[in-house]
Order: sequence, then structure tokens, then C-alpha cells
Amino acid sequence: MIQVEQTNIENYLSAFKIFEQAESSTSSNWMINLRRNAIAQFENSGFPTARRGNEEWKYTDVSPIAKGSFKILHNKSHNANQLPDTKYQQLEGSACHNLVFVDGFLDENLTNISSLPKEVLVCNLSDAVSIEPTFTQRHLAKYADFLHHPFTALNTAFMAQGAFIWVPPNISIDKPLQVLFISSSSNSNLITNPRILALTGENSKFTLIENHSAVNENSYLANVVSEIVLGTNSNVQYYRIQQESKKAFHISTTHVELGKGSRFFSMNLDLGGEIVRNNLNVVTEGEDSSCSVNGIYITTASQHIDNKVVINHNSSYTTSRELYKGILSGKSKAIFHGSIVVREGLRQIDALQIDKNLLLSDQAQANTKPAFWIYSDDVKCGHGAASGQIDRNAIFYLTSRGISESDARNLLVKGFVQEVIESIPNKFYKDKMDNMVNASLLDVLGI
Amino acid sequence: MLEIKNLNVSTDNTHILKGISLKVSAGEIHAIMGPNGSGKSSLAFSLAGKPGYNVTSGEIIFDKTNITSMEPEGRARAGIFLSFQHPVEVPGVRLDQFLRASFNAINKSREMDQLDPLQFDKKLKERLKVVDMDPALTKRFVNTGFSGGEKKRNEILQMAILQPQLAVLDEPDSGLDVDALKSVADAINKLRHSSNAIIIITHYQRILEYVVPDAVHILMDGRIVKSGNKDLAREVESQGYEQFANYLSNQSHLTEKESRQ
Repeated sequence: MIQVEQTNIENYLSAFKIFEQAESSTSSNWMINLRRNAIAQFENSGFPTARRGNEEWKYTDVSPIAKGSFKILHNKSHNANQLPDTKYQQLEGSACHNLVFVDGFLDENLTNISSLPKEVLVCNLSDAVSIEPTFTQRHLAKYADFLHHPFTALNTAFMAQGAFIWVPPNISIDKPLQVLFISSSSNSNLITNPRILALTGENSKFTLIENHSAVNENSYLANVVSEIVLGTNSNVQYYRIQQESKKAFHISTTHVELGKGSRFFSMNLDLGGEIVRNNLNVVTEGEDSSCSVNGIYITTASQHIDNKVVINHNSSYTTSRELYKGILSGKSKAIFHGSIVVREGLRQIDALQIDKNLLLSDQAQANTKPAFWIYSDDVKCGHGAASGQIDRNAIFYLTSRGISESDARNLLVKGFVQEVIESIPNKFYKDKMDNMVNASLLDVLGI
Repeated sequence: MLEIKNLNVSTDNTHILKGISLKVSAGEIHAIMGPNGSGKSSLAFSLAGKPGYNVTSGEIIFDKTNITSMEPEGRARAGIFLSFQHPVEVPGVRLDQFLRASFNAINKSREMDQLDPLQFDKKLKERLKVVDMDPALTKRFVNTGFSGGEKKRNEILQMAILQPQLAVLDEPDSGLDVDALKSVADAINKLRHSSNAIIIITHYQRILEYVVPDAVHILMDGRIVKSGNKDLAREVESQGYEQFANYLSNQSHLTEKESRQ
């Protein structure tokens, strides 16, 4: 077993040499060094497969990923015309500004960001390195820690193309910016390392949609890292839509830094993937900042979806709200780790964490693992967790009103996640999420 | 309209209704009174067909149909309505959507027109006035975060919308202050007419001051031990339920003897 793993690490190391060669002409020294540090880190740690003493990955065994021989695509190989129509429809036409990556490479035909306010800089990360070298260097890989997180290290080592977003002070972007990562290759076993760096200036406002989807039901690994930094009093809504192939592995890390008085809303929708792990880390760096992080996961068959959310309260007068809900069927498994950390010496911290699961089969399994590290006294902190089947009393209540039992169940299943959808502050996204959840429930449960 | 014949019901292997017989005709209001644990809510659940309430003998005839083994939705479509003592919270399902789903499910089963949201909204507004309920509640999730009074009123709202032939109101008065009680009673009176019937289940007599029953039945230990007119309710109020205990001991004596045979 160790033998196999070493071989696979070797594969990544030799792939790195080819990758570095290919990128050498366009990479600055700091970037080369950053990647080398990261690959050294990854070489040192390997994948976090240990089944003992590995609290971080206790419920998610990534050995299928470690054993897989995933290949890095060194050149753009897809043809946009080969993408089926349904994927174009997801681009939402005029409803969004779209930045589209196919198998890790920017697709200029599908991308449409021409109507963004001229002050805003949205470009390929590889271009940002030359357009805004100092700025990019100051922020890239400064938030998502690759020293202790092997998947982040792997992403950092192989990062090349991705989304760079800078919303300057006092700018508000009307339409959402969607960054769409599509897996289209007919080759199985590709690895992509999608990357987003988004920064907002003082009093700015924008909505980011990070959308992961696939054309084929192939097995592949999407290893995503997003860094989102909110300037003073800025406001960011972040929608993360994960609808990978049902055979895909999806590992993501989103690191969010909240500046003074900033507000962050997130909605994480997990529909696809075979093994999925999302790390969401939010740090309230500035006072008076607040976040509302939400999620819905709908799992079936043998899907395994693990959401780890860490809220670091680093400043006084900060508020966090977490609401995650899952609908589990088949033999699927969902995990929610929610950690709330409150640094010492802070005042008026208000934190609430809720995770609830609806189990639609006897074999489905939900694990909720809340953890709190509170080092201040002036803290209001609550949590709630529940897993259970459909409430028989509610079924009776609805059927006693003439509604059939199957319709009653469907109403209750949809109602279960509706509470999360209702938390969405904007009607457009509320409707969009509602439609996606309904489509998924139709697909998974036939309701 | 309703005839209950020697109804015996068990739940969780406990014999809770022990031979109930009752006839209710159109236009009548019957009150069923009894102390806690006498089987009042079990009778209500048995009429509405709650799973787990197993009829071991006897039958329920509604509108000339034997509904003893009918599903809850079938009974609702046939025209039976149960106002819950403890209305269930249904997070995530908006009240107006639930009401329309219910109304349309019943209409569909009767091959009557189903209403679109706009048409239904008009009907809903008009019915809200009848029960004097805050329209804002209809945009919230069913019973979720409602006060006790709002929940009770919501049950009566559903009765006003579905217009059942038979409404079984399980303690519509519990937890209400005197003003709320009067207002709920007022709504019930507005909804009574010559072609429907109402069974009010209550522990206390006070709601019967406002909704005057045609008949009162005393339920103790799963049996109707005495029936009478509205004066019987006043008797309960002044002297309590203990006075009926002797009826009970006689009857249980009989039943025990019967069961030994």
C-alpha cells in the first residue's frame, strides 16, 4: 500500500517537472518559488490517508484519491463546440458575467465579461501575475494555508489558470460574476486545480457564483482553492454550486477574510460527486464584520459529502450564522464538522451553528461533529444538530387535509431544505437555488 | 351523517376506546367532554384515521359509507375535518401553499375545479376575515413559530376553507385567553349551518357557553358514560367528573364479566 502511494506521489512530482517547464516562460520568480514550496510540502506530506490520529480527515477516507493515477492536462485540448447545449444554458446568458474554464483552461469563447464596470479587474490568474504583479504576489496563496493542508499544497503547486477578481472601492457589480469550471474531457482520471482569488475594496459589493459541473459522468479529481478577501464595509454574496459527475472526487478549500464592517453570505449547494470534501474557513479579521454561511446537500447512492466549516472569530463585535441541511438517500453519507473558534480578549461575539439531516433510507448515514474553542467570556454561542426521518405526525397532519401521502412526503422533503433557501437574501438566487434543488430532488427521488 | 357503532380502538397494545356508539346528524353540534386521558383525542384521531389507532371492532359510518379502514386523505376528501389539539409545525412549507394544496387535493377528488394561486388568494383573503386572522401568517411556514392562539385560529381557518361536512374540533379552546376564545367561538358559529355537523371535544365547559351544543356526551375511560343536553356540561362545570365514576365502575364490571366469558 505504501508502495502504491509513493509511486503516485512520484507521478505528481514528475508531472510537476513537465508543468514547471511548460509554465517557465510565463512565470515570475516568486511564482516559481511558491509552487516549488508547495510541491515540496506535498511531497513531504502526501495525501492525508492515515486512518489513525488523523482528526482532520477522520470521516473521509481519501485513499481512493491517493490510489488513483490522475493526470495533469498540460495543454488545452477541448473544443467548446463539443460542449452540450445544457452546459451553455447554465451560463445564464445575460443574467451573469461569465468566466469559463474548461478542464482547467480559460475558454475565451464561452467567457463574457465585457460588460463589467471598467474599474473592475477580472482576468485569468496567469494574466494577473503580469498585469498586477505586486498586488497578486501580496495576496495569492496568503490565505489558504498550504503548509498544513496537502490538497491546498497540491493545488498551489499546479496553479496556473484561474479567476482573478478585484472589485475596487465603492464599486458595486450589478449582475453576478459566475466562474464556471467545466470538466469536459472524455479522458477519465484528469486532475484539475481550479483557483480563485477575489479581493474587494472598501464599500464595494458583488456576487460571486463558483460553479463546478461536468459534461461526462467520468471519474476525475477537482481540487479547488478559493481565496476571498473582503475590504472594509464591503458586501459579498458567494454561491458555490457543486454539480460534478457522480463519479468525481471534489476537494475544495474556500478561505474568506472579513475586513472591518464587511458582510459575507454564502450558500453551498452539493449535488454531485462521489467523494466530496469542502473546507470553508471564515476569519473575522475586522470588527463589526458578520457572516451567514449556509449549505444544502442532496446525496444518494454511495455519495460521500463532507463539509467542514471553521469560523474564526478574531475580532470583537462579530457575528456568524451557519445553517446546513442535507437530504440523504440510498447508502450515502454526509458529514458536517462545524468549528467555532473565539480568540481570547474579544467582546460581543455572537455565533450560531445548525446542521440538520433528513434520512430517507435506513442505510443513509449522517455525522455531525460540532466543536467550539471559546477563549473569551463575552460570547453568545449556540448550536443545534438533528438527524432523523420524516416526521410521521407531519405526514398525518397533511394527509388529514386531503393531501395524498406521497404528496405529503414530497412537501416535507422540499420543505426541509426550504428553510435554507429562504435565507437567501436575493429573490433571483432564491428562485435559481429553488429550481436547482427541485431538479435534483426530481432526479434523485423522482419528486 | 355520522354513525359510530360500538367502536373499539387500540394503540400501542392499549385498549383505549371501549365500545363507543354515537350518532350525529346534519345541523347538529355535539360536545364530547371528559377528563384527561379519557380517550377524547383518541376518538378524534380514530375518526380522522391516524395510523397506529387500530380499530379492533365496531365501525364508523360516514355519509352512508363505511370509512373504518379508510386512509386519512380519503376521509378528508369525503368531508371529515379534524382540528388538532396540538397543530403540527411544518417548517419549510408555506401556509398559503399548504392550504391551496389541500383545497385542490380535495376538489380534485370530487372532480371540482382546482384554483390557481391568484384565485385561491382571493378565497383565502375572504376566509381570513371570517376567522379574524392576520393575513401575514399565511406567508409563513405552517404553524412554525405561531403562538398557541394563532395555531388554533389557523385550524379554524382550514375548516373555513375546506368547509367539511363534519368538523371534529379537538380542544379548540385550550390555551386561549377569554378574548381569543370568544373570537374562535364566533368563527365556529359563523361556519355552522344546516348541512354540516360539528363535534367539539373539550375538557372544560366554557367554550360551550359560546358554541351551544345540541348534545353533550361524557367520555370516561374510553366509554361514553352519560349523554344529555347542554345542561349536562354545566353539571360537569359545577360538580366535576367524579360524579360519573359510578357509571364507569358498573360498566367496567360488565365488560370484565363479558371478557371473561
